[in-house]
Amino acid sequence: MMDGAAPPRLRPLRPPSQVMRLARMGQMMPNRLSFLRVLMRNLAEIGTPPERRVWDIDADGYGQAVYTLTLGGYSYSLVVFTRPLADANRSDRVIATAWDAAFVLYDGVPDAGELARLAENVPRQEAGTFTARELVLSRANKSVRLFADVVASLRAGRAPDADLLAATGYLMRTTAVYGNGKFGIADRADISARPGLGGPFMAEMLAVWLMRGFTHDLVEHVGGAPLDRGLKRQLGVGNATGLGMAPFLVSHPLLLDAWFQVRETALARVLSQTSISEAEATALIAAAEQARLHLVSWHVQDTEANAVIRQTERQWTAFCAELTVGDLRAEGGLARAFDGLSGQGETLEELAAAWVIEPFGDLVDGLAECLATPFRPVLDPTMTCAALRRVLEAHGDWAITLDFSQPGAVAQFWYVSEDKLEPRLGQRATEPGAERETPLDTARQFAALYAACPDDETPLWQFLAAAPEHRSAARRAQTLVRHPYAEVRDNLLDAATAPVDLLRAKLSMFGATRFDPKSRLWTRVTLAQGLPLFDELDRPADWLPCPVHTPVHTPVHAAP
Amino acid sequence: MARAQIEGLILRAARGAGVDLAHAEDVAHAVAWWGDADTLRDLAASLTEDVDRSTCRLGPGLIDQVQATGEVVEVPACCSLNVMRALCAAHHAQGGRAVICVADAGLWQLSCAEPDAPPVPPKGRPDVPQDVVAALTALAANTYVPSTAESHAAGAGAGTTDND
Repeated sequence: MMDGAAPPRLRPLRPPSQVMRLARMGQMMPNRLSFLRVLMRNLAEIGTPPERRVWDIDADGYGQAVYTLTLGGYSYSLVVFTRPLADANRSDRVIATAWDAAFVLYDGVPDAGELARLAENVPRQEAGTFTARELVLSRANKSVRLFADVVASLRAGRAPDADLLAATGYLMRTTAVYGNGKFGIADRADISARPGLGGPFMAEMLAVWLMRGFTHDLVEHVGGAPLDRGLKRQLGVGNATGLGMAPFLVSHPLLLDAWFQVRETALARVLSQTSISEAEATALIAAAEQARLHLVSWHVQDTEANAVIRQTERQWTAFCAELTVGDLRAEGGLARAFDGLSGQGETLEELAAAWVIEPFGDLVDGLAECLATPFRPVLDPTMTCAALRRVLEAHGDWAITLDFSQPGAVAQFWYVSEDKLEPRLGQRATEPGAERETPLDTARQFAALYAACPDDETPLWQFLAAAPEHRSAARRAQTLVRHPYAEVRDNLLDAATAPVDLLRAKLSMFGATRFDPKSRLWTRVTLAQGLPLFDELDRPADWLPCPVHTPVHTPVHAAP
Repeated sequence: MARAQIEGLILRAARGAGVDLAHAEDVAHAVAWWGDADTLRDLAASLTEDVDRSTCRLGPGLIDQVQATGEVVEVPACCSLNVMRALCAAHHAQGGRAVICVADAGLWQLSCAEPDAPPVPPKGRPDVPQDVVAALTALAANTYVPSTAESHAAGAGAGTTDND
């Protein structure tokens, strides 16, 4: 980690044995190094506000629109197509084939010919034909109830129902945001050297932020009146995320390590300060209050998840009541406040880990340069088998001590369905298809490697030549020596593993808020809520969105 | 096709053909980012004709051996030189000791070389022949699980309304 600003004596990073467990990853919160926040800083620094170049939308909200902005000297356009959609066809699943809106982030400014080509293909999404000019492909469905309510309110000349608006948080919900070569669109490598797009998922985040602005324009257009700026700022873009996101964290170990190295280094840098300024202490207290208001407004239908949020709200409120500028400014006061929350549960600790870095942009923002990596794990074939066993004992103890002969340890299997290649999770004891499972079983692979690898000086390359099925595990184990955050340190096949924990970890890195788990397999979240509007690039982004009006609790996403 | 898309397809195809995971990963990355249409054709042929003697099965292990021992190793005649070249280029680009293919008296060999400047990957997209896509897609299908009414109903998001 290098940006020249590190304090001389860095507090030790939290160890991967603590950080990389699903129970903790499943409670992560966004922070100022989350990708949407990085994007907003990039836009403020080297971007221009989006310009609405095409608005061919009818009175009911159907048609096409184009927004163009520049970032680092390059032009990018969000091209949007909307069309009527019967309620019966509105599905967030991958297997859906029609949506309320379809989007593409286009490299440059499309002319009439290109617009016609995009109109032919973008609404078809996976079934369309795409080129390297298309950077991101996405689609979204309306939050029917909120969209209709806001339109009705605007048409009636009254303010929308603030409770409903705060409880939902978005007018449209994306069901996929595809980048990096999917379905023939541009490879990430094509654009990763461009200013402002070098970080992970920057193009995808740019598309999401532009989509959010489009939804604001659309509802104002159909409603025939402008929406209050404060309310508008609280409307992000929803997202429904299922199992498709989970394998990424396993198949990109060095990227996973980079993300967590950055976050943990930021935390260590901030907590290594022996004293902070009055302005910083005041900002910390303001951020803590912002988090409290966020928790107050965050309600979900899932009983268990809601109970966790309510407990955190109580704990955080008590914590806020004790915070003073004087205590935070005292020598070691910041670390003392943070450490005082230790042992009160992963949810509270992860909230605090995000909170504590919030006012210290000068100290941590440069770390965002380290979020991406061009490297892949490389096997060291010169190692001996005995040395590899020592590596597994030191870094893979969470796996090699598990008993995979127990049915519960292998109860689940991950697979890709023939049905539009939808990722699914099966029960090994009762469902067919385990022989075709997706290899997310790193823990089981580590254990098998440890069992098979002789404890002697046999060269690793020789062992692997005879047992190539262990080569992946050997490479991953070696990787942990220099990249200790490269693995989720849990058994993803275990009966107790909840995929939604993996989803929350990745989505929090994106900057998602209002996690709303719908089952152990999928969650809804809100993206870009509280971020600056199109004409507010100089306005700092909120850490966590707080409703303008704190709502009385109403059920979220109630089934009809 | 985008190179990342090709990499994903090859990875699934190699796994579908029974190639071990790490070998499949290495070949998929190498061929997608360092190969051309001929490399892709060689790869598809080797996976469909005799996977046990394919470069996917043999190539990564040969590079491990050369890297570890410093020995010169003969490349078996059953291996595709195009795929081996792609594997060597990808290996070099990731900072491993340089391993190159050398023609010697009609034989091809792998050997260590002094580290050189990393190779520059080819620009643009390879022209992927449709028959190659079809062959790889058919192999990739071996990794997909047929859908059943039960699995459809148990998928993420099933059973809930999205008209909220």
